[in-house]
Amino acid sequence: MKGLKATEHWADVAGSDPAAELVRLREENASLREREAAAAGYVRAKIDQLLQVMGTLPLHPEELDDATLFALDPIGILSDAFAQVLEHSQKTNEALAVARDEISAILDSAGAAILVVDSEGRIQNRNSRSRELFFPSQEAVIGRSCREMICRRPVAPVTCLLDRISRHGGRAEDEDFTLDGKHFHVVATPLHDRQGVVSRVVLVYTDFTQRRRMEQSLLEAEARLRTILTSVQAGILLIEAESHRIVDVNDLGLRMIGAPREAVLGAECHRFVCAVTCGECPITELGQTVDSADRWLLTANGGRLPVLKTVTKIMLDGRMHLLESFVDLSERKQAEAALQASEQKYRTLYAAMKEGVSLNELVHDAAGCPVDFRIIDVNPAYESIFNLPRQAVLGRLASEIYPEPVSSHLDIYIRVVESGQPVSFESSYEPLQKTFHVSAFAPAEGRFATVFEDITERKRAEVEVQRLAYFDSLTGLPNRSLFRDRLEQALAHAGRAGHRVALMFLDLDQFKEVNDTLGHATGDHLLKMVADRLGNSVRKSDTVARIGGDEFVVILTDVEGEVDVSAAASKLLSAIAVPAQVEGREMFITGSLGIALFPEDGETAETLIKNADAAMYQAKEHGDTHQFYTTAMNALALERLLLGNDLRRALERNEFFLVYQPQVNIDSGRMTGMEALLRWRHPDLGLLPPSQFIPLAEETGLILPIGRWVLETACAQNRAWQQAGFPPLMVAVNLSGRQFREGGVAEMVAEVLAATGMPAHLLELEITETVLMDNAETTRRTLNELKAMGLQLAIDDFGTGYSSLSYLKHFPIDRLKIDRSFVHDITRHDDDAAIAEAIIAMGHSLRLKIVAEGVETLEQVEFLRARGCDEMQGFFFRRPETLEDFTGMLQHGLGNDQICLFSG
Amino acid sequence: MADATVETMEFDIRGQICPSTLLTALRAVNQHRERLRGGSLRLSILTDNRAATNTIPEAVRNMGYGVSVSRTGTGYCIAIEGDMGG
Repeated sequence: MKGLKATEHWADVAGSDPAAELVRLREENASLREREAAAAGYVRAKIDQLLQVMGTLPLHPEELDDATLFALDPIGILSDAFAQVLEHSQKTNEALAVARDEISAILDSAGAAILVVDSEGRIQNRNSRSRELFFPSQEAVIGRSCREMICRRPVAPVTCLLDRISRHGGRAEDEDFTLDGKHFHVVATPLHDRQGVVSRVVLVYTDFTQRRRMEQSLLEAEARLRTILTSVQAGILLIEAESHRIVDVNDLGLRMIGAPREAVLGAECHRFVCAVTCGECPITELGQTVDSADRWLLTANGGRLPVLKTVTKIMLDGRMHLLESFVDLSERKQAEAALQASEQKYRTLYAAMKEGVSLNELVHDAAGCPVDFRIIDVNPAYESIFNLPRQAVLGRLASEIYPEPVSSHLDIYIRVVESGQPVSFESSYEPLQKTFHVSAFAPAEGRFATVFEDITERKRAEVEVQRLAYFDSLTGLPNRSLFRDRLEQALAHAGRAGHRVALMFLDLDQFKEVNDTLGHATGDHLLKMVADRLGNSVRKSDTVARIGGDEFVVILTDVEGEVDVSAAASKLLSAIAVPAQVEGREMFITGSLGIALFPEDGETAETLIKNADAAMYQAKEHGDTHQFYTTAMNALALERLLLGNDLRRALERNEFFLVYQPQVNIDSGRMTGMEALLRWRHPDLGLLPPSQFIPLAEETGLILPIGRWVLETACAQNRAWQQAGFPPLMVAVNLSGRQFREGGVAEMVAEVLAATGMPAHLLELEITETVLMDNAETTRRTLNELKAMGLQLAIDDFGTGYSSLSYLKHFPIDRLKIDRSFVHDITRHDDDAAIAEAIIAMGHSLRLKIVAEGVETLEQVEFLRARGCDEMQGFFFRRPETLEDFTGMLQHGLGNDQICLFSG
Repeated sequence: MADATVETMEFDIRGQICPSTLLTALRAVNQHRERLRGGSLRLSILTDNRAATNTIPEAVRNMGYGVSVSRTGTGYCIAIEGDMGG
């Protein structure tokens, strides 16, 4: 460039004046110098400027002359250097951009939430996880305060990580920062600038909520497991399988072993379990996966505890363990032993009991209806009762074994099986001629057991007892009881029919001598023979009875007159007088016979008996073979002679006693009360009925102390029964006419009730119609007094007297007792039936209860029941019972509501 | 291994002071730029000017070179190589 300028200059010079040219040249030279100096100055200034940028000192002129300056070309050097600086800078920027992307990618892929904040807590950067966690819906978060965005609440400086960093520097941690129910572990790392001042803080939030939850649920699971282990009713051991060392045990396990935990932990399991099979562990050595068996647990004190052991394998911490549980079986073992003993006991009982037992199963047809039953088991008693060996009946059908009617009991058995209710009944078994009391019950579904009690003998005995009660065991003739009954019947019948009845008392002469000299066997033989002969000498409708040692009575019904009767008497005496061979000896018997006729010689059985007896004594005394009763005999008052003195002493000697006859509700059959009846056990004459001494007692006035004794005894006894716990029953006591006539009955009764403590409403006084009518006004007053005390009042023997029913309404009467004479023929005679029916109907119209006496047959019961009669009394239910028997009857429940006397 | 093939070119600029030390060093770096970047050459500049131990390293660092300064008996040795990491 310089050269070019010079050339141009030289062209100009060629055409001009040299001096001027010189001047011009000099001027030009000076100008050039100035311009060169200016250029050098400019260059140096630029160099200095560049050097300053490079951070070094300016270039001093003395260091470098201008020529060297240009030759060195510092600007070029520096430009080159700057070009390289720029190039490097660009590369660095590119590398930074990549690094920033890398860092972003790293941050975003981190599981933790990461925030970068400045020293004031303003958010400068954040990764995607923090966006998700802390501000999912907010885009513009850069520059906002992390305290507002994340903490959202005032945080104490001691807790705030930024505050801690600004105070103490270094890293800060918050091990459990809670936000929105999440738990974070936060690490804050400060970044410093070149001056060492904190410019940024990197906050890394690691969410360990899940881990915390898992820890929590792990803790809970462990607590739960621990609770189960301690509360379960089984001992539990955890055993390390390889070493067989116990690594854990629950409390119950310790108690069962009886050793402290430290003694059990670490011990070999064989020390406490599987002792016998040591080395043969079912799981580890014998290859079982589960072991469940009854075993012994060895306790610390050397005892053995029966246990049910269950072992399962479990993996814990990567190692095989055995989980063994033990249930204490000692109680169960004891219960089993007790059960076994009990079963043994019952089996023994089953085998030894005298009742036959068979266990049966119903057999059904195709339609499911039970049609038969099969025998499953029988006991030894069954075999002997039925005479059937066990093997012959087991598994067989009832229809193959039993003929009717046992199979006909099938309906009963079906009911037992279906209802589960036991049933018992009596059954006759014809093939063996036996009677069984059969009880059937259902021990299991579809099955029933039958228990056969052989009551054949008992039944036979009952018939025998019945026979003994009414018949003389030696002769087979009716005894005194039946005779009395028959006599009453005969009299009642004759009374209504207008017939006559003859009562004969026959006493064998010198019979005592026969007994004494020839012995009782001969005497008995003789008596039987006499009985036969007497029986053969009368009509079928007549009655021959033996009422004492050698005393016989004959009742002839429907007799015409004394001639006929006399003939009959002769016939009887002749019959017994026929010489007889008794034990190889000829014997000749005579007898004395006394006769009383109804109605001439007495209208009641008592009177007739008394009179016939008197006539018999007369006959004996006079040596007559037979003797009719005469009134003269009455005058003799034979009995009075015999009994008068004795009666006075009878009370002192305690010879009286009471018998009790139940009164029964006709509908329910339940006992409502009883009538107390007086008996006299005479030391010589034996048992005497009231008819034989009451008239005498009335006559002599002894009836008053005797009557009081009767009342006291009956009341005291009824009270005693009540105190013994029996249901309250009403006791009826008869009052005689004289007791009423003499007065003071009410006072006497009050005294007795007070003395005995018997409630008045349980006492009933019975008086006869005759007494009622005797002195009606006085009697009514007395009865009112008694009624006011709360007693019950009854009219006895109603229908035989003269009272009219309408008259009764003037008296405070509660009950009417229909006389036995009406009851007797109630089913055979229309008249009697009509009278009884009328008494019942009219009695009811007067609101009186009706009691029928002397009821003996089921027909009578049914008749009376149909007519609405309220209560009954009579042999059909019970004869009068002694104190002991009556008490026994109450004890056996016959007085109890549960028991129906109808069944007896 | 790389060291075995690296040639070291020494510039003794003792007696010079800044900024000529800097310019001398920069001229050398400019001249040998390719080899320095390629890693086959290392420059070793000997100087006794203390200021140079600041100016030279700062300048070449900005240009993307690696610099290290060590003392020698009479001054300093400034080693320059192509890689910053060096």
